[in-house]
Amino acid sequence: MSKIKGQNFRLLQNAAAIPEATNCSITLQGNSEDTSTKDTEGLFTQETIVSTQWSAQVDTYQSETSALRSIISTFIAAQPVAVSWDQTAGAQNRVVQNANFKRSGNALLNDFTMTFNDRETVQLSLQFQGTGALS
Amino acid sequence: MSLKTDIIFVRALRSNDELMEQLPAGDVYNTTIAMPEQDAENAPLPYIIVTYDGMQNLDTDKDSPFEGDTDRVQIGIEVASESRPQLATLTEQIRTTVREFFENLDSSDEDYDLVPLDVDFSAQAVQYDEWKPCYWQVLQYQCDTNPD
Repeated sequence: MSKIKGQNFRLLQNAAAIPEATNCSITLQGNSEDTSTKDTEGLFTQETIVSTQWSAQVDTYQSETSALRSIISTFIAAQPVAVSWDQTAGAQNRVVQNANFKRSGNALLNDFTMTFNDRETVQLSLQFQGTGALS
Repeated sequence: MSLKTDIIFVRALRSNDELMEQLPAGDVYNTTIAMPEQDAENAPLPYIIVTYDGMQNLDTDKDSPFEGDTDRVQIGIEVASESRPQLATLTEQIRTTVREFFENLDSSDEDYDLVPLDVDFSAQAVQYDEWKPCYWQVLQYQCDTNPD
């Protein structure tokens, strides 16, 4: 069995890999509520998931001014964009593999941080908040 | 271009005629004009040697499974002189020459791509070689460059 490397997991925005990424993560969260039923004779509560939410984050270097402009425009537009999370390979490690664990959905660019240090490369941190289901 | 970074330092030093005239050899020693081992003791003072002291690759990201897009190169400039005042004068001249050459090189120059994106400068303590005899010091440049 081949081992999968973190290098080859990428976050894609509108089906294109977010360039120069160094780190990406996806978070799934279930919101539960406590219920008490007669099954437990009233002694204990049971937790039931009543809703789910998901978010994704990616850290990147950015050396292209067009990419910076695109991100700011996306944020100001405040419209959901198509986000997916997939395995990649090939040229610049950006060719999506449509792996069986691929997940995609629509998400708002909820927050972003641009870091302009004295000497370092420009760094970006993007946080997407899922709107609707992750399929 | 990171494997050629020493070349731009040699060119920078050669651009200063006043500095070159002080060197009996008329040129700086470097990887292409090596000072022969047997001549080290007889090399007339003062002399300057530019050395390529290695590099490491930085800034890996998911675009590049193997190498990142920045190389950090170490360049050494060894200066030897009979007297401390002359050594101090030479090191100041070298430092100023290199800085001004990098700042003023025209972007249309064929060697422009060799100019480091960023430089950190440091220098070792002045040392005395009682066998030659001479005072000597190594100026160290840590250069961030493009690998290509």
